[in-house]
Amino acid sequence: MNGHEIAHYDALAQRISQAATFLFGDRAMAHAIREKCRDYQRQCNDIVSSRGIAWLTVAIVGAKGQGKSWIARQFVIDPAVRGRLSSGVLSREATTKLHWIGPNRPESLDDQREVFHYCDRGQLLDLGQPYLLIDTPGITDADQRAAQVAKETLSLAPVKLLVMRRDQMRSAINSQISAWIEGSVCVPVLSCVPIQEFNAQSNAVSSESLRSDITQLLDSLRASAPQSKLLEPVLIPDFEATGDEVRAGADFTATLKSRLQNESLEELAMTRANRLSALTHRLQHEVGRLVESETPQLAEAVRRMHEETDRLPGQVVESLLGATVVLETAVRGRLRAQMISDTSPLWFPYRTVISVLGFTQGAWDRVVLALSGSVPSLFGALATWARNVQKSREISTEMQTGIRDRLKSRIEDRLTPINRQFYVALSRLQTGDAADPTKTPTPNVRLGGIEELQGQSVNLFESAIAASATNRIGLQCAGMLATAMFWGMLSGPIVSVYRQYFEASRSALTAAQAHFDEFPHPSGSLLATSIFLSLLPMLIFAMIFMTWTLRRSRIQRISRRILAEHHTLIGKLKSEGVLKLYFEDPKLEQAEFLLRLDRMSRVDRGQPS
Amino acid sequence: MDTSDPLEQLIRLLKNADGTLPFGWKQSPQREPVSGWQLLEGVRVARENSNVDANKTWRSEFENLHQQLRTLDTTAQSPIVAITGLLNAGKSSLLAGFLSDAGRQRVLIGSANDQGTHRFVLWLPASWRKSSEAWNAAMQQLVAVFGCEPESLSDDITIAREQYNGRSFLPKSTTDSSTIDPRSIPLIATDEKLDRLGIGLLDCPDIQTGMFPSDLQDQPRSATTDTFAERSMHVAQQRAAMLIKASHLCSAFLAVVASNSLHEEKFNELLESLRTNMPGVRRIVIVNRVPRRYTSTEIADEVQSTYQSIGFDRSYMAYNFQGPLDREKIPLPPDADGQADWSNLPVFFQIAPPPVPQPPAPIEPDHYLLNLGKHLDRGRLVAECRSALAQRLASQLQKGMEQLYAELQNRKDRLKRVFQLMADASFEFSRGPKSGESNETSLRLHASREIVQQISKSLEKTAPWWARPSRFIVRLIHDSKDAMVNAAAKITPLHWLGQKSAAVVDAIQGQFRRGEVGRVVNNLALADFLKQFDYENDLADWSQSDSTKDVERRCQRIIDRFQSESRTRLNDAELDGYTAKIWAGMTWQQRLWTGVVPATLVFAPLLAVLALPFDFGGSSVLVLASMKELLFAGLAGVGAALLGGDNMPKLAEDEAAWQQLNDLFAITCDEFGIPRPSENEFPTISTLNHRRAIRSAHVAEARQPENAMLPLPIELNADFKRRFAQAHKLWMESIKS
Repeated sequence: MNGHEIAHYDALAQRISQAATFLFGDRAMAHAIREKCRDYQRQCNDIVSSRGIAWLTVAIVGAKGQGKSWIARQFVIDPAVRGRLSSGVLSREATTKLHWIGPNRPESLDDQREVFHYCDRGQLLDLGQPYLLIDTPGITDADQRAAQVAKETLSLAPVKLLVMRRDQMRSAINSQISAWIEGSVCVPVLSCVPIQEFNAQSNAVSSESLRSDITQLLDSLRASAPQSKLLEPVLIPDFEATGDEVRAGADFTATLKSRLQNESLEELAMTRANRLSALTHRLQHEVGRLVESETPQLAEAVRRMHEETDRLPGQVVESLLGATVVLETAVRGRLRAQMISDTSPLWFPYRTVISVLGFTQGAWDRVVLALSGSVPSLFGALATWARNVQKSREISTEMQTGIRDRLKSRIEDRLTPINRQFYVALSRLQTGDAADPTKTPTPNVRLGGIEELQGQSVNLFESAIAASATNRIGLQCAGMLATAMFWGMLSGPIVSVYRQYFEASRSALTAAQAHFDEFPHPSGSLLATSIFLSLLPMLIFAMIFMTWTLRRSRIQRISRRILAEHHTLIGKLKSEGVLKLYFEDPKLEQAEFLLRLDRMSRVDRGQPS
Repeated sequence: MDTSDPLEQLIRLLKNADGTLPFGWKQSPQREPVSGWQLLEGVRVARENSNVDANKTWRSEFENLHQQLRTLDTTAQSPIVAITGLLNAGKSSLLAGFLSDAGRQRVLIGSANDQGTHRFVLWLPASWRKSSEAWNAAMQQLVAVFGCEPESLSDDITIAREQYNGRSFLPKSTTDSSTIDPRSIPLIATDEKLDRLGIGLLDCPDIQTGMFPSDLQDQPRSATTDTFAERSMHVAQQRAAMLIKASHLCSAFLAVVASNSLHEEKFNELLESLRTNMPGVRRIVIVNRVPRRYTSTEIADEVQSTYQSIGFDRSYMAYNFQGPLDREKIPLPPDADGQADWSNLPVFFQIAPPPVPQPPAPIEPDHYLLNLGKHLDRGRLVAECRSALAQRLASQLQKGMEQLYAELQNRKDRLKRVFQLMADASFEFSRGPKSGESNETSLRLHASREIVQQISKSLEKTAPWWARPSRFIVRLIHDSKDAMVNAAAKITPLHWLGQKSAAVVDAIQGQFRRGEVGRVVNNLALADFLKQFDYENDLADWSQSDSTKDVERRCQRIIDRFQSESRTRLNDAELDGYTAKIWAGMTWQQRLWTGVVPATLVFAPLLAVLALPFDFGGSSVLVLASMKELLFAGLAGVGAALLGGDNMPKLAEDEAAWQQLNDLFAITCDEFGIPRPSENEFPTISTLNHRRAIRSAHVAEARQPENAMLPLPIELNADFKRRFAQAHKLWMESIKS
């Protein structure tokens, strides 16, 4: 479990340091980032493994000279161990190493920096459960090594006693330490409280200003470490003024016990996740900020790249669909096709006529002339037919793949200059010189979700067409009307021919002599004329009906709707993270990753980014 | 030590006061002389505490230091000693010890947040108020350091304490509370007991107090201060920076530390920065609240071993005065007047240099801190302060000169980068679409009015007889030569052309707008292109909206001037051949179809180009289009393919386009107020296949150097450099002496 957990945090640290090395090579910033990552790994390791101690650990932390070691002594009953925990104003009394006190020796103890004092459980203050105590050097110790030990071990224990003197409550360092120990259970301990302000026996704050200072202190500790669990502060009176150090110690331990006894082991164990997450956020924040503030040009380039890709899909759809000629032609074509297919084949020859009219849009005059037998018009109509078929195929391809193709070409067009800006900034960081803009690689950026956008766009188009398709009953009525019109007009010649035919047949069967001439033999031109005459009203009806059905206002309304729906679709795909920029250029990807860190940590913490 | 003469000489040289020896000359047609002082205007020099006072310029800092030095030179010897130290180390208690009972009442003492000293308070001997010289000197010094007149500490105890704690009672108009933090206004007070001491005491705020949660909304968030903890630390750093600024006032420092903070890094930092900023000015380490279990010798040894590396003049200590144990260790004060109540004040006595007394053994009266005055020679204190200021001034001057010489090179480099970015940006938007396999980029022609007119004239000239009616349009385009608005008025109601023709113009305009044909660049787009290539904010600070707006305005002027001044034309003979081919290429059917419409189709893109500015609110725009786009663009869109462009005669439009690029580049230089580059400075445009330098333009230079967007290059005056070095040497010698 532990190994698995550590591997997870190691992976993040490694990813960050690899990105830093990859981008900044041997520059100071890469070193600084790698250092932060190493710190982070070590602290995660400390939190996860707890140095092999299964028990609770309580650490006493704070600035220099606040009385930490005095507090540590109050936990210990064994006088020998107490004697080894010195405190005072002289350098020989100062705590410069980490002191572990308890019945269990921690693993991998570094003798240079740490000391272990064995102390039986019975010789330690009873907190209701076994524990180890850690006394740390002052974080603001002028001795850099001691301060370093203090800072590096802040992650060790789940419970921290944050010690400060009453007169140091407004020091900025308290907020800083509080931020460093975020995620822990934190008990503020105020030492050297003047006896005028605090009555130790009754454990009561008697001064209004102290009460308000405590409120301010707790507010600022909370503001700097929202993930910590902050307990009520414990106050220690200025025993130099009272002259009764023993009493002060006894009062302190009693109060502390009451504060801690409500904390269950399970709850304390839960601080581990909080501490790890606080640590991770801090690393992300610090690295992100560092990269952003040290490399503003790089940050700007990546930001612009995001901005552009944010805008691109919208603009492409706009340019594709916004070209009203294309969209309207497409809509008209689809509506026409729908109209033809929805008209029942029963309505012959009306359905044939509207099919022909559909394909000869723009050349109806020639169709009419061709019907009258004009050969050049026939050719003209056929040419228009061919052109319309070609055009509708093009438009359909445009609708099918247009967004995808145009986006691809636009991405390259738009991102090339920004990409150049990125490489110039990067080269300046790495070598101190601007790169030759002509030698920058072409942007290798992929916009994910284009296929999805294209697919959904086609669906959108189809469903918009389906939703606004002409009413089927209306179509059948029109078909019936037109067909009736045609057959009504053609029935005269047909009936007369059939009548003549039947009469001739009857006489041929009944009469002794049959005359072949009695059978009807209408001339071709008569038939053609009849058909032409019957067809013409239907043709005119069909033209009017088609023109009315596919009227401009309707086409425009549908086009506008399609456009609006596309914008909604793009917004949705972006917010769902489907339409997203992928940097396939490793350098860009790494820079983007580093710069995103701070934003990620803010989003995780629910802060505005 | 008399520093004034060589220093004044140096300053006169720097300012070119007699007008004969400028630092150099601005590269402008008139070769305008400039002084170093002028060049240093607005220059910021990196400071030790870079996060604070970043807005302070080199000149204001130099002037402040100079002013302080002059004040010290011209006034009586009235030294000021700073009482500084860590949070609640007992600075105000120490001060109170020096004051009369009345004065002591006005000092805010205590460890609570509402008892903190958050303003600088200058306590002066009462006699100084009577001597206008000493008083004025102190006031001038305060103004020089804090940048504002001090506020008087009220005689009313309650008000005085509130003032101490950070409130200002000055009328709102003088403080303008929205902009000035009352904590940055110093307080001034006098006390007759200080007369005995003969020095002024500056009570300083601590350098550790962070931010109170209630201040959260007042503190701006910046790139470096984001979390509450970071911002709190930032506040503490600001206080430290303020202290360093105030240190320039002082002739000695009493650095107070509570015994438990003897090894606190902040105290080390404080002493270090006092040493760096006021070198040679004495520092006195004062240890307060020593627990009585320690002997004075232990403390003396501790102070000696801890701070000898930083260096201090002498050291004092006081035992913690509270508590019943070992009270005999608390010495009695040398209470000459016997009035003061010392039960609540620390009594400091000297522990370095030796001997180190251990109460209850008697202490020499002179070894009490209260008698510090006896150890301080006022003349020497002022001299030390003057020397420290002179050294700071010298270092400031050196920084300034380094900055000046660096500035010469910076300006040259920056101009070079600006030339390059202008060339790259113009090239970028003039670039035509890549032509297939060759991958060669061609330039698009700027459809300037000159070019559109030339094409329309040529079309008219080569028009066959059947196109006569449509030549009317050509005349329209002619008319537009002088007044675009008139042209539009005539173009829009082209009713006689029929709706179809108007729709064609519309459609083509739409194609231009959407960038499907050619490219339309208005002033905003032009500014955006410049921004794209301005990797280092050389041309403008793009993060500032004012600066961006300025660039946009200039871009509009560039476009206007280009439209009216660019005289670049295509080769007439070639163009005529080209247009003749267009007419000839029309089929008979097209010619006869509706008579006038085919001609409209030919002219539609030209009309569209002329009408485009009206889509952009009437401001002129750059329209970039190849001849092919300009003449055939609209036709495919309306479904009437006239002819393929491939069999058209060759037209040297590329050359014309390059010349237009040169013109545009030159106008851009003019409008940004920078000189056009000389022959050997022309920037080169590199494409994948070839490099080509910008060449001279065919547009007359019309530059306003005073409107320069960026600083112009300077030619250094070698005489100045020599004379200045001599004067500087003289001054340095006078400081050392």
